Amino acid sequence: MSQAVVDVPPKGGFSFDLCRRNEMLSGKGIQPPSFRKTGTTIVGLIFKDGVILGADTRATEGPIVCDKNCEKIHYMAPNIYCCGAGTAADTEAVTDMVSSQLQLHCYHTGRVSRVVTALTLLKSHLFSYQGYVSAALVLGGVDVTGPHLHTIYPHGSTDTLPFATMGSGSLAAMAVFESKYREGLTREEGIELVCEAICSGIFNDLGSGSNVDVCVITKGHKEYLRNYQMPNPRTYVSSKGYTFAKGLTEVLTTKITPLKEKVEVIDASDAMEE
Amino acid sequence: MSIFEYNGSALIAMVGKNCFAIASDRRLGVQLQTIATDFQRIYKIHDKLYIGLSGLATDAQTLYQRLFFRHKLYQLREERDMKPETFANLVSAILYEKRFGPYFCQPVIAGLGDDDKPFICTMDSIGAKELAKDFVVAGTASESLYGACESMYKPDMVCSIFSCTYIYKHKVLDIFGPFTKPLHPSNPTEKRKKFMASYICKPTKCRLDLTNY
Repeated sequence: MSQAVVDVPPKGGFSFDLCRRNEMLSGKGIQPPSFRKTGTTIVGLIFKDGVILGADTRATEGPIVCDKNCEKIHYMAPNIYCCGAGTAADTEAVTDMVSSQLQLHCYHTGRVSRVVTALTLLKSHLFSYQGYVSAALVLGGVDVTGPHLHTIYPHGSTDTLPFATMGSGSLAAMAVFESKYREGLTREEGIELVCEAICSGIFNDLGSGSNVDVCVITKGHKEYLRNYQMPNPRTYVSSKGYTFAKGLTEVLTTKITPLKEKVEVIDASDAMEE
Repeated sequence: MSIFEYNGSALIAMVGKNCFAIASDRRLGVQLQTIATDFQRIYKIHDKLYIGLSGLATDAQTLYQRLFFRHKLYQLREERDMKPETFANLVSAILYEKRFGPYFCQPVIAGLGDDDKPFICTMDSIGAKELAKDFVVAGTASESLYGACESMYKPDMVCSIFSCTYIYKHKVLDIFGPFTKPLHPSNPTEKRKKFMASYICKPTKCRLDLTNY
């Protein structure tokens, strides 16, 4: 049998076979494409019973908002969630990958995952790519050792903090936290503070916008409040909308393909008797 | 000049009432010179799943061939068609695999999932998925298309065809031949309009009724 080059699914990891062609194209003066970023405001804080994470929901592609309601709070484990800022594909891929590794680890050890495990898996992956995987993360969760909140930078460095902000709106959100944070916040006070910080990012930073997502993690219980606040409702100039007259576009040809095919079922008993 | 503007493209997919529509222009150019006015950008993966690929035409064709191959393998192994959500994950993984040397392609995926629920999705060139409930756009005319859709989209339209009229008016790089395929659970219909082609699906009749859009 001849050895044909077949496009079988590879073992995993990145493939660099188009790099040489892309280098050649950029040498000819063609700019590489811009990737979708989640120029963002993501925050986390530790309150009396656990961790609260918050994020805005805007995804930008250059100067255009391409997704007005994207999800930036990613699931890692039942007791651990991670907010991601930076290149959208990188944050999604890295959090999905570490989430599966955590699940395998969980099965292997028979124990609930710890936040520091997720932290180490993320930082070692990001460090090994020297910052080229552009994902800035706020990781929070509650495990047997208590509530934990960490920030992870694209180059792999981490911080452990009682309250943290990342993304383009981080300065606006940090201003709110620095003035109003105190230890021993209750759940309601914590959620209100997180919302205020995200709103400050939404209104003052161009890369953040739309709605506020909140995730509250406590011992043995988590609550993902998608679109907890929607401070930017859609307003319409006229409620009727735009109507299109029939025949506005000339139709050149039409082809209709029926999807459901008629299948005749021959009764098996009849066939045998013949 | 950006690599996406080399060939030029405009793609849009929209969700209507129990149906979806996917539309593209048909111009193939080399920067400002038009080479073809019947270039296909929307490909059928199976009866209820279509993928449109904008960006560099050669990468779009290569990517389509790889995806079709993977889908055929899936059909052989699982003896059924891939769901649109699964297919979107597959496309995202294939694009992210080339994170540091990407395909210069932005896919738009449209399909009917479980219970014939319409599903649309787009990605950037490294696989960051954007699932939308109303419309998705891609290509060099994406900014204009965003504007049009934002102002004119209404939920639950019977045939989301106006997407074609839209693409028709676009920038020089992608003005020819919108080609749209609205798809409804029972009947996909292909319609070629002036400079355009489209597939429309209707529940009971074959008559094409455009009044409700």
